[in-house]
Formats: sequence, C-alpha cells, structure tokens
Amino acid sequence: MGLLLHQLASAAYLLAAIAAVLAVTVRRPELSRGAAFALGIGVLLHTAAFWQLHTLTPTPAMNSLPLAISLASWIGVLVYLLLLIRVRGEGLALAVAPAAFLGTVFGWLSLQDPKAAVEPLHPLWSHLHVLLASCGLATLGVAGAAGLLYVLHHRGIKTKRSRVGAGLPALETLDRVNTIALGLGFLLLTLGVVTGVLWVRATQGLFWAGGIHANATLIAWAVYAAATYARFGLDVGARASAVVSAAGFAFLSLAVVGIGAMR
Amino acid sequence: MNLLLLGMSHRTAPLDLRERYAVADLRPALEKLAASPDIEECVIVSTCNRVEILVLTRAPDAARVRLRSFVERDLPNQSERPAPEELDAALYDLSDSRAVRHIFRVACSVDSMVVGEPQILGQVKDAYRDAVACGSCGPILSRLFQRAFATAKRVRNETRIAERPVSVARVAVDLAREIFESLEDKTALLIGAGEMIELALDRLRDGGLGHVRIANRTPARAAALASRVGASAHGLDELPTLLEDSDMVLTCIGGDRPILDRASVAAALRERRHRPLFVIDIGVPRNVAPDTEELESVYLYDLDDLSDRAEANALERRRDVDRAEAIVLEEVQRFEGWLTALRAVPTIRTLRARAEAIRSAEVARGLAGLSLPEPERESIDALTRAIVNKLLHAPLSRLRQEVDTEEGLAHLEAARVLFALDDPEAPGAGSTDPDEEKS
Repeated sequence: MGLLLHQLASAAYLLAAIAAVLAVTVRRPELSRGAAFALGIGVLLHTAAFWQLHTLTPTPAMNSLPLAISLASWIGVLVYLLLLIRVRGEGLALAVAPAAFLGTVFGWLSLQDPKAAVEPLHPLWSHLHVLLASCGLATLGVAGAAGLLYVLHHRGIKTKRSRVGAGLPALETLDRVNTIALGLGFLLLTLGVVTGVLWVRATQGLFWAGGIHANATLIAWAVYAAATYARFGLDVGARASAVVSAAGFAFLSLAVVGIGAMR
Repeated sequence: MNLLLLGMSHRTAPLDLRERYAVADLRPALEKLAASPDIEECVIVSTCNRVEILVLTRAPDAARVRLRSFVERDLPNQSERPAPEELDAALYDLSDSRAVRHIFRVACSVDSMVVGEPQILGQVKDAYRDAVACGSCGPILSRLFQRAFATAKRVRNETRIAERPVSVARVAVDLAREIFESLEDKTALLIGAGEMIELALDRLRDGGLGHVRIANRTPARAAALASRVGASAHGLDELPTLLEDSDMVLTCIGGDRPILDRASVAAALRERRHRPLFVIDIGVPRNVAPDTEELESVYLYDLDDLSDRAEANALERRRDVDRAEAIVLEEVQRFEGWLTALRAVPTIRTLRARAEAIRSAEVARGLAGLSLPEPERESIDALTRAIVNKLLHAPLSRLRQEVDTEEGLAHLEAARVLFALDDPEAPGAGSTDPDEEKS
C-alpha cells in the first residue's frame, strides 16, 4: 500500500511537471495553476504514503538515503505550496515538480526491497538530524529552483529574444522566493549540521567524524553561509544570489545524494 | 425563412456617422421593428463601433425595404441626416450564411477595431437579452446567438487572440509584469510630457500601475499633465533623486543627447540596493545611453525592441485570427445544418399526418361492417398503428439524419413527390400530424 501510494504521488508530480512544462512551451500561464493543483494532490498522496509506512512492522528505515530523499521531496513540495500563500509563484512548479517526481521515484524504487529500521544509538539526535537536514535540503532546493528559473528568465528579458516569460513567475517573485527559502533553508541546514555533530559526538565521542560526506556537507554549508551573508548583509544583486542558490544546491545535492549513493 | 443583416461599422462608417445611428435604448426600436408584418424575429446590436440589425423573415425583399426605411427614418438620433449616398456607402447588407458568419465573427471579436478585445461579447449578449426581453427574438435567432456565444468561447479557449499585445504601450505593460510581481506598489517615472507619454501612461494605469511622477524640461507642462493624471510634477534637475525611488522609467523627450547615461543609472542602482529598474525609452533619438543596458539590474527596452516584440505578437495574432476564422466557419456550417434540418420538419409532419389519416379511415371503413367487441377493435387499431409506424420509421429517420446533405435534400423532395404531399386531392390531404395535435 505504501508503495502504491508512493507511485500515485509520483504520478501526480509527473502530471504537475508536464503541466508546468506545457505552461511555458505553449505559453498558457493557467496551466501553472493546474500544476500547482496536481502538486497539492501529490503531496496529500505522499503524506498518506509516509503515514502508511510509519504503521508498518517492522518500519522501513527512514534514515535510508532513498527514503530521506523522498522525505525531502515531500517537504520541498510543502514549502512550495506554503510559499504560494504569499507569492504568485505557481510557475515555480517548472522546477519543483520534476525534482519531486525524481525524488519520489527514488524513494519507491527503494521500497521494493525495504530494509527494516535499525534503531540507531541515540535515536533522538539521529531522527532530528535526518529531519532537519531533509528540511534544509528541501528548502534550499526550492531556493535553487527559484534561482535557476531567475537566471533563465533574467537572460530571456535581457536578451529580448526569449518567449518563455509567459509561464514563469515575475523576476521579483522568483527573487523573493529565493531570498525567503535561502534564509530559512540555511537555518535548517545549520541545525541539521549541528544535530549531526551532536549525534556523532554522542555515538563516537568525536566532534567531527570526517569522511567525504561530512566534509562535502560542511563545504556546502560554508558556501551557503557566504551566500546568505552576501544576500542579507551585503545586498548583492538578485541575479548573483540566484546563481549562488542554483549552484549551491547542485553542490549540496552532490554532497548529500551523490556521495551518499556512492557509499 | 431568410436571415438578413443591415448595418454599419467602424470599417464602413466614420465615428460621427455611427454616432448618429447609435441606439441608446434598444427596446422601443426592437418593438417597432418587430411590429412589421414581414419580420418574424429581430435583434439590434449597437455599440460605439457598430450598429447592426439582424432579422428573420419569410419575405426577404419586403423585409429589406422595411429595414432600409427603419434605418433611414427611425434610427437617427439627430435631426441632421446624412446624404443618401453617404448612407449607402456606410451600410452593408448581408443575408443567410453571410449574415450568420458576420454575427459569429463579431461575437468572437474578429471584426472588432482592436481584434480580440473582450467587451464586444458582453455587448452582443446585452443586445440578445434586450431582444429576448421584449419578445423580438424567437427560437431561430435565439439558437443563432447561443451558437455565436459558444463560438466565441471556443475561439477564446482554442486561440490566444486576446492575449497578445500588439501596441508598444501594451507590450511595455506585459514586460513590466514579467519583471514585477505587481504594478500596484510600483512607482513609474515619466520623462517628457508629450502625447506619447500620455498614451503610454493610460496603458500603464490600465495595467494597475500605482504611483506616477512626471519630469519635464518645462515644469509647467509636467505640472499640467500631472494634474490631469493625478501624478507629481518635477524638473529634469531632480532626475538623480527620482531615479533612486522609481521602479520603471518611461522616457520620450526631445534632445540631441541622452538624458540618462550609464553612470547616473549605476549611481541610482547603488542607492536602490540593486532592485530591478525597467527602463522604456521610446524617444527618437534615444534618451537613454545604450550601454546602460549592461548594468545587471537594468532592463532597457527602446522603441525598436518594443516594436519587434509587438510585430512578433501581431504575426502570432494573425495566425490566431486565421484559426478563429476556421472555427467560425465550422460553427456556421453546424448552425446551417441545424437550420436546414428544420426544413425536414414540415415534410415529416405532413407525411405522418397523411399516413395516419389513411390508416384511421381504412380501419374505420373495415370495422364498420363487423360487430366486434371494443377490446378487439382497440387491438386492431393498435396493430394498424404499429404497422404504419414501423413502415415509416426508417424513411423518416433517414430524412431527419440526411437533411443537411445534398442527397438528403433530394430524398426530401422525392418524398414529397412520391407521397403526393403537395397534392390537395391526394387521400388523407388536409390532415394534421397526430403528435402535433396531442401536443
């Protein structure tokens, strides 16, 4: 059942991705609203899928990488939908929906061979670390999506040739989303790193376990710290901030997902 | 039954002539026209761009004469009347499928002065409602207008005829919406106080622009325009300060040299913490130095850039108009199919009445010499009725289904000849359809 719900959520996200792409290619902005609606349906199914997994005995390991990515996708879509309360950013679905689709596919592929949860030592730190890191990854993912779309849209208006603008949110909207998500995402990522350190400290007696995953994550955190300071402290331009958000998320994804998958 | 349309529009008549024939209150005019014996149904569409009368008639020649005299004598709202030749040149007269196509094109805004403008559909709906309210619009014109509204909806859904701005000012508003989430909280700085600036300002206001400042070499002219449009007036010496607080700059002012250069805009950007600045330069020669565009937060569009975009939209819009015309044609054919199907109704009714008259006469004659109890008489009556209905079912269905084809019309004619439906001496002639009687 959990697998089926995950698959249904993936289908809804895929539908949202198709609608969002169509909104831009056929220049029908109203399709972006359809994409946002499909993402809403997807997030409900995704919630039901996680709830169902939680009731299984033994519970699948939520701290496994695929399910953590699926969790981050779920949070990312939630963040996107919450942002829509404040901004007219339905067109962001162009980046959020495909990412959510891939995240859930990654999750349900792993559910075909579910591993039971292995109760970690000091589960409080472990769970807090996974939850906060996933929230941080998801929120910075939304910032990265907004940043990527900003760069494309900005280029289109500057060069006066692009015709993609009709399906995308206004530059001002993308910048607002980037700024909000960057600030919030950096805070959550910081808390994720801190709880990770505390977890390692509690289990291994070390402050820093080292290793490629931890070191790459720390570098990503430093990049985001610089980007956040530049945005809020130095008032750098919207485009520079967008570029850093998009590139930072690419690096963070590599650090968390790419390296995690290789291990 | 024929449809006739007599009217004038922005394509054939100047504004002062259209004004003289505009109908402020449709109902009295409709009642007067509907009272004519040659007119079965009528609708009048009167807007600032057109006055058109659509009628359904059985006597097209007489109705045409009546319509012309109605337009000449009853419509003018001023004592001064145009010369007959001026009126002749302004009026167009369309009939049947051309009239239907015209009304569909009007409702779809394909015939409008600004193609795609949405107001016309509402105006046609109002005209239809008025005609229905005063009883001058019957089933045929009702159907026609319902199809016109459905066609307009299809055109709106299947094309983007109304969404592509083709004027420079509307392109600027569209671009502003791609940059800013909302224009309501934005401030525009207009440099110049000429006609172009005023026209562009109208469009920006329509787009929801919040605050406006006007700067000009001659502060008195800026003040005059500002007082008309509810803005503040400034001199050009205030530009550096004004730039810092403005989100959009629209400039169209005379002069040999640019009034905004890269350095002054860069300084303003620093002060405004690199918030985006949309600069629309419609001055010739250009008022803003072209290298200003290199500044990251500046989106500079000059007249050529805006015209290129407007032309691209116009090209797309022409394609949309072609698609809309194809939809109109399809819907006109569908409506005509329905109209033609109505022609089968009298033949079908007469044939059924004739068959029923013969059947009931033969049953009565056959049973007259027999002393059968009532239940058996009723059985025989029901049996013969069933035989007649079954015999007629296939040909009548076919006549109904094929009436909108040439072959169907030939069948209709053949039925009238074979069953002698037009012969008053034929058996059963003069009877009425039993179903019609029941209803």
